[in-house]
Amino acid sequence: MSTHGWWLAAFASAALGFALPVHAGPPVTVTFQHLGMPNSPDATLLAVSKNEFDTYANAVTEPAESVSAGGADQYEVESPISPDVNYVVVRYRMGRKTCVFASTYVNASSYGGLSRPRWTKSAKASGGAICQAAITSTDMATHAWSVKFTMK
Amino acid sequence: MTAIASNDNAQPIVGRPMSIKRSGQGGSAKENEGGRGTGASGMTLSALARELSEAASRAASGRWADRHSLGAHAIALRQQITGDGYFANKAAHDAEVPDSSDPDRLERSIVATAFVNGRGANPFSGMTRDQLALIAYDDSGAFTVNERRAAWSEAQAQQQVWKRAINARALDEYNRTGKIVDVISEVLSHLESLPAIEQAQYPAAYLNGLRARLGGVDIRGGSCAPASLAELLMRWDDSKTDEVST
Repeated sequence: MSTHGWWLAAFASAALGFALPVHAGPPVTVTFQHLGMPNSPDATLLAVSKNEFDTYANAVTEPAESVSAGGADQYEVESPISPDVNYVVVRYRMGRKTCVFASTYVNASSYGGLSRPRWTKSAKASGGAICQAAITSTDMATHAWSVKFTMK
Repeated sequence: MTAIASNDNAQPIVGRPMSIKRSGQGGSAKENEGGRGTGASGMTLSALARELSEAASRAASGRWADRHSLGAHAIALRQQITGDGYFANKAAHDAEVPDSSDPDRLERSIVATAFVNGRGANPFSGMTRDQLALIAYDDSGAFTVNERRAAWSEAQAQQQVWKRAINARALDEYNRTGKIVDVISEVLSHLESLPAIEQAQYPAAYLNGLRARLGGVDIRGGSCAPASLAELLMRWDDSKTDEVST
């Protein structure tokens, strides 16, 4: 998948319509860090799955397409699905290494009608990459959260 | 040669300034046209001012059928300085010497190569986004590949500073009001202020999404509805997903 994937996504969104947040879920602040050695290839943002395309489309501030070794990128995503759901799914490639990161928020009602917010995070590595995801903060009042993804 | 301009209004896509200005500053008299000011790197700037002027002329001569064409071209140019090919030919890029006998010009290329290898300051630090775009997206050979990468890097750094500030404000607005509206308006204004060659690289879906949120109009198409929550959650391998809950 190359950067041209974004253009395909753009075309698809234009052709099919675009999701709008009537009541958006809490935003997630994402920090991606390229922890590779100096002069290692840039980490390039790719999109393969629908959720990866949607993550960019739902961004308030855009994820950088390329992050240099030692660099970091911070962006914010607010999903339009509902007030009770948000997610971010991003894929980075660094040479032959690939990381797929995800973080979700679900505010599910439990028995008795109490809401139970849950935040998840995951990191899947391939090609020898080391990928880590960590939830760095959650706001119990608004349910906004922050997540850090690292790759080397 | 890279020459970039829009055919929508026949305006140059990049390259308005003919003088060296540092971002957030007016630029001193010595740094402006005709002068031989000294920049952050200690180099005189008159040669760079002339090169930027020439790059602006090249950019102004280009015409692109639409935003998509410009965007695709811009991405191809960006990949020259960020993609696999750049790193595959790193030794050649590091050894590249400008076709010039101007000591300032030669010195700048050395400083740029040092910077992209993690040593020293960026020779283009503090320049405006328009000026940085003129350098980063000019593949005429007027600038070395490492100079282009250094210029791109400075633009990224400036964008990162802006994003971190706006992210904090977006979060503050959400925490106060339960929505993000004012900040999205600022995001759009900022994106529209960028050089067109940078604007064109943003996916239409992203820009349309911002505008739609601002307009408050639901234009969701049924066939493009987001994945259901169940579908979303099923896509992840539970065994590799960590959870935080209350």
